[in-house]
Amino acid sequence: MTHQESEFQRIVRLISQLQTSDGECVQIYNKAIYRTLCKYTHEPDKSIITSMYMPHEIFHAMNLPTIFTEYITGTLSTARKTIPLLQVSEQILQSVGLCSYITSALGIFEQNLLSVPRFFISSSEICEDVPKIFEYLSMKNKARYFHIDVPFSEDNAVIDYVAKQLEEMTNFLEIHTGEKLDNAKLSDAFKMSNQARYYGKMIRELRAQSIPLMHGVTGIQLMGINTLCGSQAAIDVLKNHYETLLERKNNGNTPLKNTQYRVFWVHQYLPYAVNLLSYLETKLQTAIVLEEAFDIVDVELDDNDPFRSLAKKFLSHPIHGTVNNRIANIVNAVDQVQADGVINFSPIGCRLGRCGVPFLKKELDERKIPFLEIIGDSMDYRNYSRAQIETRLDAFVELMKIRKESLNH
Amino acid sequence: MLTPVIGWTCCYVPEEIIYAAGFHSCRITGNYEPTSIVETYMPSNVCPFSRNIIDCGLQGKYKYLSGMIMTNCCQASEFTYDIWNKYIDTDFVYLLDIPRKINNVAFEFFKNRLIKLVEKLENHYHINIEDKSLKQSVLLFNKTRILMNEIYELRKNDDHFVTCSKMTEVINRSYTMPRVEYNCYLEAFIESQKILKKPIEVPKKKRILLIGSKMSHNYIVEVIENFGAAIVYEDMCSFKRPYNDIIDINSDDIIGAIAHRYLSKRPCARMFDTGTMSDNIANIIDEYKIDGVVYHVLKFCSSNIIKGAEIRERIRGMGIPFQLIEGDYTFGSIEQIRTRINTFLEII
Repeated sequence: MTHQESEFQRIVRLISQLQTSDGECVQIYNKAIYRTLCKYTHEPDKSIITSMYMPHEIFHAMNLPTIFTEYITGTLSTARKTIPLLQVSEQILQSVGLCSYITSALGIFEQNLLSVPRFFISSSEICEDVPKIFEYLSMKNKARYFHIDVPFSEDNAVIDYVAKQLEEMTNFLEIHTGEKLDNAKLSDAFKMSNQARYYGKMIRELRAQSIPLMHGVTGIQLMGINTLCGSQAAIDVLKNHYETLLERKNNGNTPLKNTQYRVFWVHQYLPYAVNLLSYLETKLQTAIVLEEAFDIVDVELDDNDPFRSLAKKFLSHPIHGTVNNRIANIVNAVDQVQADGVINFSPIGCRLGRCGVPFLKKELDERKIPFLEIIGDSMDYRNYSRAQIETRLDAFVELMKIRKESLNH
Repeated sequence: MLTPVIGWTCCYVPEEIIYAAGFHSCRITGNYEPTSIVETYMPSNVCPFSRNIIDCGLQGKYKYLSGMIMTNCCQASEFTYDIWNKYIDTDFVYLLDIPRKINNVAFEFFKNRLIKLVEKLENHYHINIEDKSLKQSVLLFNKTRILMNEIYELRKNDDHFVTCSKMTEVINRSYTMPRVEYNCYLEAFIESQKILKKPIEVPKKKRILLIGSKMSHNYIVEVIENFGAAIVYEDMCSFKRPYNDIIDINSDDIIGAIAHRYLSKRPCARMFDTGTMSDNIANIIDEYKIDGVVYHVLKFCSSNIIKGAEIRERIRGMGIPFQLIEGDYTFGSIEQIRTRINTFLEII
């Protein structure tokens, strides 16, 4: 039986063919997702839509085609296909102001961009809009929904609670897909995830200690790399990327020449306006030396205690729990990369992103590190004004210049 | 000596534990005033209730609190905890994790969280919270639930109808009055309602169900009532929802009994309840012969806004008119709301 390529699949296929200036890693990443999408279309009884921060190792070990919603909406935003989605979302919710990155997912099926999955699976980790949107979509489209409840605190009881739910989720998937979670395959998935984590860490360390080796947009575009962890694709992407960067470091051949300032980039970006980052990097000679989004959770997965091990990894994400964890992680990275400034892009409806800003600003003020918050809508490009943001970036670079001069004197 | 006060914000916090620890418990509801200094600490796209209480806290309006217990009921509440902990001078600030699912695993976890809360209170205040005091406390709060259910039974009878404005007043008293006195007040209130025959002609009025986000003020209620409609039931955490079901006082595991009752009570929009909330609302519509539903949400409350879409479709499927009202937890938007309510009542 042949399956017609969905509109979204077509977009991903085209995107995965694009050449980027940072080697092949983004291409490999997009191609891996395209392959999953093909499987998603061919095996609708096993298809899952989930979110970025999930224990994807289980899905890979069970060989289930899983697409994460942030990739779908982010890609559609890159292709400037989101306005009809936003219109559907406004019609359903009768309210604006929630995170459009997530709420625009309400229009995906109504606009026939992708077929309805058999399962929606999400957790309350990091974003509270995703689970509620999934709950609604599963009800509306008669799909099954599984929720993993992630508490705010972090202690052994919380690890046990999350681990038990991961076991429940596995049972749920085994019953409804007929696929069994094979211990040997889970063990393989853990090994691959650990290996991918190794390369991810190496990339971070390499970038932190070097002249700028790559465009910041690549780091942000790879923010969903966690979703490939547990598969060979994650290793392929990160190994390729690491080797490219290492070679650049060794021969000094970096695409970012004459960089004057180093910035740490926090949270997201505008997928439909990537060239804004080129303006920062090329015209303003300011390199994004590390991104919060390219974060590798440094927890070794242990197949002797698989569910607790996954729960620990899940709960160790710096964005989990109190905002102080996240801020400490950012400030630590800012120190590590010796950033001259920090730019925080806050999607307008994202409470997580915006609520961290006052805390972050205070910490950076104490260190006298310039900070810029740009607020924008990652999905809705109708009110996007490039010139306004460029003016703010210009002013910010001036600030960094003044600071640097005062430090030199 | 005055009894020290512990504040709380979400009705999943068991007041029984606060009371058993020897504290006076007080629900923190803010003041509905436009915010002034919160902007520096919390962005504008966060729950207006959270912003309001943080604003009050930063202005020093909660200096009387010895402790404050919040929950992870939503992301805004978690940030409220973070900000309160850092910037508002309160001796004991605690976040209680509430599961979002209702099953045995969640129940065991919630019981564990309550045991931890008890231990935290004991260690912080150098006290012992014994099972005996917990049981005494449960008895007292169970009595409130029984009395509150009696009032709601009375409300079903048009001759003894209690308006929603009056119910707001009655329930708001529970947030501040000592529990023994509050139970006496409820008993007296019930007696007075039984004696009084109301001039309100409820059968001729449009019968409204009010649901949605927390609302401890009267301003939207009065708008609806002043247009001649009767709010015959409210399914909100600031009305009857916290008073459904009593705690099993005979249980050998009193903390377990408290956990069980709180987790299995009528769910709010943040819970993942596989349709229980919509089913409950559909049952209320049938039982109370509802003519129209007003769904009040606080701006940026994603749980209630997204859940509202599901509920709206269910209610409209029953042929019942539905009106969404978005509030900002101040009195500032009242004229817009008045226009919308007026139009809605016209079309019922």
